[in-house]
Amino acid sequence: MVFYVATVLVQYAIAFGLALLLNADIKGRKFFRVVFLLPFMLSPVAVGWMIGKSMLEYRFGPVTRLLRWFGWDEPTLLTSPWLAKITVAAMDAWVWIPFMVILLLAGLQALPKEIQEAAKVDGATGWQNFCQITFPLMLPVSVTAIVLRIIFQLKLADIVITTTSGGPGGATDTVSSFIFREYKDRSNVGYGTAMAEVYLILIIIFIALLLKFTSKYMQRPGV
Amino acid sequence: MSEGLKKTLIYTALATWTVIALFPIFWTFSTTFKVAKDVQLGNIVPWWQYTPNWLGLRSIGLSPDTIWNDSTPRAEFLARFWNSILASLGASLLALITGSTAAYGLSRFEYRWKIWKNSDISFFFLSQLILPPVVLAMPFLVLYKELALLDNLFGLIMIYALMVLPIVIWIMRDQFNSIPPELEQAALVDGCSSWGAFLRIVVPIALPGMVAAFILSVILCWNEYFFAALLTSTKAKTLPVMVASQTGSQGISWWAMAAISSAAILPLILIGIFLEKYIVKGLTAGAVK
Repeated sequence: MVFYVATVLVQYAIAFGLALLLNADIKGRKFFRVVFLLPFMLSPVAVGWMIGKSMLEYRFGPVTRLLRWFGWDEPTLLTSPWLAKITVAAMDAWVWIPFMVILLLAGLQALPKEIQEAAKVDGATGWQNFCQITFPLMLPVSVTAIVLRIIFQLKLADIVITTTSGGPGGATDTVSSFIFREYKDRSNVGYGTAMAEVYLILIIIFIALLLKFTSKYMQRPGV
Repeated sequence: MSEGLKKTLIYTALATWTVIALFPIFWTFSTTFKVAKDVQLGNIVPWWQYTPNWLGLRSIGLSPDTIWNDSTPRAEFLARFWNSILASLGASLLALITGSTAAYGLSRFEYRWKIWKNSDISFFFLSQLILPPVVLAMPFLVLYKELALLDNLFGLIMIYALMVLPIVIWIMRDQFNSIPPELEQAALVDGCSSWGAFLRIVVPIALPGMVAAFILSVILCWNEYFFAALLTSTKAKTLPVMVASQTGSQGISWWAMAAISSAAILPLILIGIFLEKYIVKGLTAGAVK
């Protein structure tokens, strides 16, 4: 669980990169924007199936095939605990990066152009420009995006359920998917409900703290 | 770095991500047309590496050569498809109507109950987004059992509406806040009732935001798996549940799975391509100003 939340930061880094690229002066921006948006709209269940079950198939999935071609003989993407965790995180990232890209891109486009031009005139390099102007100005949007993502991440379940059912040995389980399987597969209602309650309390505390510490950086205090 | 090199790098990065984003979608659609051998050999390019086959579509009774025959899988599939459509459209409509009236109230009128004010009410609405659905699962299961709403499409619509309501309120409140109140005041002076002012003046202006909220909720409802899996069994089962239930039993027939998955993602891809503007608008409402 903590691991999945931590991957949000990696997703953020990738998403910021992509948003910057999209914001650059390029042709066909609309095309790229639509393409980048698509993964976000697909149903997680279908994603779990088409990537998890089919593309990562041990014997003939195109991804395992590619990895073998690169010389990795045993691409046990979904069967060794740590790798499975990373794989599920990667699939989750595939779905959710577009969401962050869109938020960040909107933020970038709302930035006043004059400031960057002024910096350029004053002789700032591209990197300086990014570190000292774009990034600080984007901080509110970034924090908003990350907080939203963390909130959604705490609910992550469908991809886990459809791809690995929490396996191997519960390595990829999130709290949500664990409780779900407790209900659905084992009909262990009492245990599941107790866990759900504890989880709810933990989430409320966690989110309250998160919002308290971040709200002053966010676009809008109090979400 | 020279300008040309920079351009090349940017386009390479964009193209890489395009491939990452599109390949799984392409894979799903193309697997629909593969027989077992092609799946296992990992053939990718149609016509060159393998000959497309109607197998996948035939398994749900939709291939051109069997479309006129009766078929149980097709009836089953169409029923799920129809359920999904009804559930997502119905829930979105319900959420849009209740949500935008709530958002309008929050944006225009002052409410106060002891120390709680408008901003607290909106925060309370939004806080429902934080709640993981799994926490609500048990209470709803018991409640729906009492109300005899289990495996009932109407029950599903209600719960989906509840699920997307915070998002709709969030988007719509943002939308209404951007409309100057003077417009309605003018309408009121000219003799409109406040409902008249809302319906004739505000709604037409806020329409793009409403479309955005509606589309976003349709997407979310269409993809919803959790409650559908818990609360429905036969009659009201939706498409995602059908997709997920195919994986369990003995060997997977890839083409059939691919066909159902394609059907589950195709409407969304079309929405994405044609209505991208509204989705972006909906997603960025409130978060970016």
